[in-house]
Amino acid sequence: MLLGLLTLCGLAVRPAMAAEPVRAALVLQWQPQAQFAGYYVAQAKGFYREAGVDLSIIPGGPDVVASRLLTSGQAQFATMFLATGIERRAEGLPLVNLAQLVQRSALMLFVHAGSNIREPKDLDGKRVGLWDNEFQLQPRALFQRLGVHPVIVPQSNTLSLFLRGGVDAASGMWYNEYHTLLASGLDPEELRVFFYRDMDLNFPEDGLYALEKTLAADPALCRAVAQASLRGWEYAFAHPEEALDVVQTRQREAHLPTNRAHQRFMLARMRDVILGQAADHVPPLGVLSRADFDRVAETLTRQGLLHARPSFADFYKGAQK
Amino acid sequence: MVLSAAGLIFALMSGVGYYLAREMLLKNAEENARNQAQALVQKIESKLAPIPRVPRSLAYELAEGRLDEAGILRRQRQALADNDEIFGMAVAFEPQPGVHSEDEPAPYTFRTPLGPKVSRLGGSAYRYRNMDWYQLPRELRRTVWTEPYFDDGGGNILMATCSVPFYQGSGIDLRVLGVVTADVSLEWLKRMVASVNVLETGYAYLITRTGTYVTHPAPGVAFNETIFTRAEEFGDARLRRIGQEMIHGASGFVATTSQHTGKPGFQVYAPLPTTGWSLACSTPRMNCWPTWAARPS
Repeated sequence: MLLGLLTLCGLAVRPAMAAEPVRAALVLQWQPQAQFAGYYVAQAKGFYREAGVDLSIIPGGPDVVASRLLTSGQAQFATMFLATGIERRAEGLPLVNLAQLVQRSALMLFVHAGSNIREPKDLDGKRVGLWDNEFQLQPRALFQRLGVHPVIVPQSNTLSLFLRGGVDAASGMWYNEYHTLLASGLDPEELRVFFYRDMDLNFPEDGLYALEKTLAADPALCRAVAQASLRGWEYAFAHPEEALDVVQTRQREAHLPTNRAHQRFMLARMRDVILGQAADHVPPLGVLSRADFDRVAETLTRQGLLHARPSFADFYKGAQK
Repeated sequence: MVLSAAGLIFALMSGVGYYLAREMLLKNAEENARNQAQALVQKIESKLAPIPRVPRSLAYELAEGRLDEAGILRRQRQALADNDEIFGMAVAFEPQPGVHSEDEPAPYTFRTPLGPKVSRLGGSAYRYRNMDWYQLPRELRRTVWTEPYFDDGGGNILMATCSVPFYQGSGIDLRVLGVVTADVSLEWLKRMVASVNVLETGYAYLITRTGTYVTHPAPGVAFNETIFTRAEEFGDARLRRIGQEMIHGASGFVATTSQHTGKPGFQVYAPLPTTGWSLACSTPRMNCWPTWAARPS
């Protein structure tokens, strides 16, 4: 029994004292910001190294497609939305989810408080800014459910069109665009917000992924990266100012604009959507619930975006509840 | 007792005199500060205000369908030759079946040390239809100035774009046919505002419509912070209110403490009407009554 336990421990954590650390790369969904604090902190604090992995982080951006980097072997791990992961798997890319981070959807719609849009059904015929791809899943599901037909206006990476009155409603993430509006001079009472998570469209977002063949070839590597990443997130939430120092250093290295107030807000909201707030009932850190997977897959199917639903067991390879 | 009464009257008169002198100095300081700010606004506006006429002129010709591509390039080169403030000009057409495709590149003529050069904006790496310079005038159907940005391909120069839509029809039949842009280098503006000496020890700064600092004497603030993130970081509710006044085009003169110098003083602010940006001048209080430091105790 002791031998079995020792064997299990050996599989669970790649021993750092053995051989050279395994080199691997993680590609993120976007450019360096507190949305990815846990990974940057894990790297900076040496958590990946302690787990026997020499992990480099590839920042995302408008021209970085995670699935392409995974397929080409430039990256072995990637972060993406749950909906994206399920879609790619259904399209034939053998992705597996190693850990689910964001449990509460941060996607939202905002309107000016003075507008006559008091509830989502008032969006009928109104001009609504939407981003592309996975960001349209929840809005389209909502519009379909309510039977409304807004005029969809492609949303850029700024909120200028909303701020200048060019659209009646705009999309944003709670941890990013919402604070951008406050940081542009709008007070909270000047906005009316609608969270998809409050409208029965709580789709978990950021998760950690790899290709099936990576997991099959080296399960210890995958477990090491997943566990070190979760450790990074726990550390970031427990030491937010230190985490912000790490993130802002990465941003400056990438010559990106950065300010403390915005990144601090972002990290605090990431805590809310990853760990949940007081009234939320979210799975433990890193766990993907079957119910959440089913809800997202069902909506993708009804939207005509999924023709063959992947099985949960094939898709999710992380810790169980 | 007579002496006490006289002393009391003297103290009272000194107090009133002090108060009146202080008020007068304050009023003078306010007037000086407002005048300085207004003079700077006018200097800046004299360079910015004429710029929209250039893309508008080309937009009118395009609306009338009078120009082919060779004509567009000629007009762009001429505009650069006639207007030193303009760095480059683009013309982007709205997609039209059989005429202009969705991914049609936009001809862009710009300055180089060896003379004007033409490039084509577009392709998978530069999808301009959702960029502010194209989308804002197209959707708002009016001339817009974008937020300032650094042009990576142009030597990291601080720029802003004045974008003008051109149309066909009117009223509900109005159809946007495309957008003409003029890219404007703002290096002169940065230098002008940074070199301001408000009453010898104050400073000036510029913010955009969203409160983003274009210039600021503190290192690391410009283009990283907005006046609102700075207010949030310092817990400065008054600075947030000043910022809100500024982005709504108001002018004002308020007593405040500068987060940059830590000194109490005043801020005067005024809008730049052409772009919707706003200029502020901050001065420490001591400058308002310079004789005060030498006043006998």
